Amino acid sequence: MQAPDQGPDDAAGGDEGHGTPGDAGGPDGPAGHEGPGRGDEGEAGAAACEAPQAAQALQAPIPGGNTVQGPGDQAASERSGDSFAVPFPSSVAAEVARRSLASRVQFQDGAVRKELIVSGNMLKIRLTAEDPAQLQISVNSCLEQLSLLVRTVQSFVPPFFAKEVS
Amino acid sequence: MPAVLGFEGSANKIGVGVVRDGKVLANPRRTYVTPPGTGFLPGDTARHHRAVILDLLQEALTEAGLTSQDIDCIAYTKGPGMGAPLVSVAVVARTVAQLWNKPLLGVNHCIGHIEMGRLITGATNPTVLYVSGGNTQVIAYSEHRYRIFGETIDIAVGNCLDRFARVLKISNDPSPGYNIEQMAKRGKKLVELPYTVKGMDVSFSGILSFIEDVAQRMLVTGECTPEDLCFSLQETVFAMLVEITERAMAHCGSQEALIVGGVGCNMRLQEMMETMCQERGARLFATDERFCIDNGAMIAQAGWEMFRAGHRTPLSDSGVTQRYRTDEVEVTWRD
Repeated sequence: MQAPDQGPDDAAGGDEGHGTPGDAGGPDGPAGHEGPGRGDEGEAGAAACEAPQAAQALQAPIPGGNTVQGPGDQAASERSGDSFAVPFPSSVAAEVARRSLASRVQFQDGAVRKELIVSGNMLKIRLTAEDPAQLQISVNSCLEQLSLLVRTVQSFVPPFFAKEVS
Repeated sequence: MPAVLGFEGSANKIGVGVVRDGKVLANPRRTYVTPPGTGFLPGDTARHHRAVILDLLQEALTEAGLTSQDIDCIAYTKGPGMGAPLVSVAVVARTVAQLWNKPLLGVNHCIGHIEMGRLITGATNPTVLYVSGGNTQVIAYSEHRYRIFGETIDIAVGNCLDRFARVLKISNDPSPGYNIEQMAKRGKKLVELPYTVKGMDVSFSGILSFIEDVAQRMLVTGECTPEDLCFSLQETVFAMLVEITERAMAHCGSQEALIVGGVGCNMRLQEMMETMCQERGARLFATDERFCIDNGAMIAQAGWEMFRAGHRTPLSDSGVTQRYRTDEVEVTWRD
């Protein structure tokens, strides 16, 4: 689902380390030690709390795409996909997140394809790859970057911006 | 009077610096140190950087006495370096650039070293020996590019030293190269090692293989001590670097040499380069560990130069790249 005035950002994993199995370290999982803050940290914190829950909740089939399948179920040319949606306090905050996570990297065969779409206050992230192992690494990496981004916004949002995001 | 905030995190050091009009206002840094006998992996290094970067950013602003509104530009290391750490730092740089509505600049890490070296030492147009754990290049400026006159054809000299330190299980705190330097001072015997200069270039992978093999044999038989091996390795690789630097200086007719990069902190290397420079009637410039070792202020300084020259990096183009040649950048801020 796309917002009418915003297209997907495509990014392959190669230069940013997503496509290299050795780069992302051990899988921390969505609720790893970089997990978001809790309690009374405001809406941005609430959005961060949503991230791992949203990631787990949205393992639904992607329209026209595939859920992540086991190696035995997958044809060689078929791409696996994983998608999740992260709520932000506002569309402005979601757009900040989209631009921070997107990057212009030349797509390479076999690398991970990342799509970022802002729809209202939701940032929808979709990752697809031929290799399920690379996909897993990229999902972990994406969640870690998302966690860092949210903590950055929580720590350094200027007063005038805080009015827009709240 | 633009003030530039610089983020550096291409290897195991992460730094955030603030520079305004040639003055370093803040330059805090943290180093990811691994146990003896091990090196640092991209994923673990990125995890370290993510854990400390926001505290470092706050520390830099506090030390500089500035707020986000006082910053005119955000600079970050675009490359070269390790992918995952570069990405982690770039995410923060992009985010604060949007939050604070400031222009963004992707900086070449090597040029960061050169520009900080020029600022701190006042060297006007030196032949640069850039030596670190990830890079070994001899560079000279010509027609708006930092041209690479000579370089390693395989591993960097710092990588050779670091990997040898692992063989001897030398501590990585504060850095393996520093500890090798201290041990080398106590070395008494020069063990002959391969000397591999290839024209303007150098090679270190064969020396590393050789000394790893020699270490196994000679330490067991007692023919030499670990201190002797540290001494011998330094003498050999540093002599190679002095040779290719001198060759470049002769080619360019240069009367100045500048050492930058983490290995540039090594006093024995500086001593050998000083001897060569004196013999040529040239002058040697070097910095201390604050600016030799990777740091945020060097990215801020290069960013300051680029910002004043009108460079900008659009968000859509603000990725990172593990391979980024020094001569890819058009140096429009110099004549």
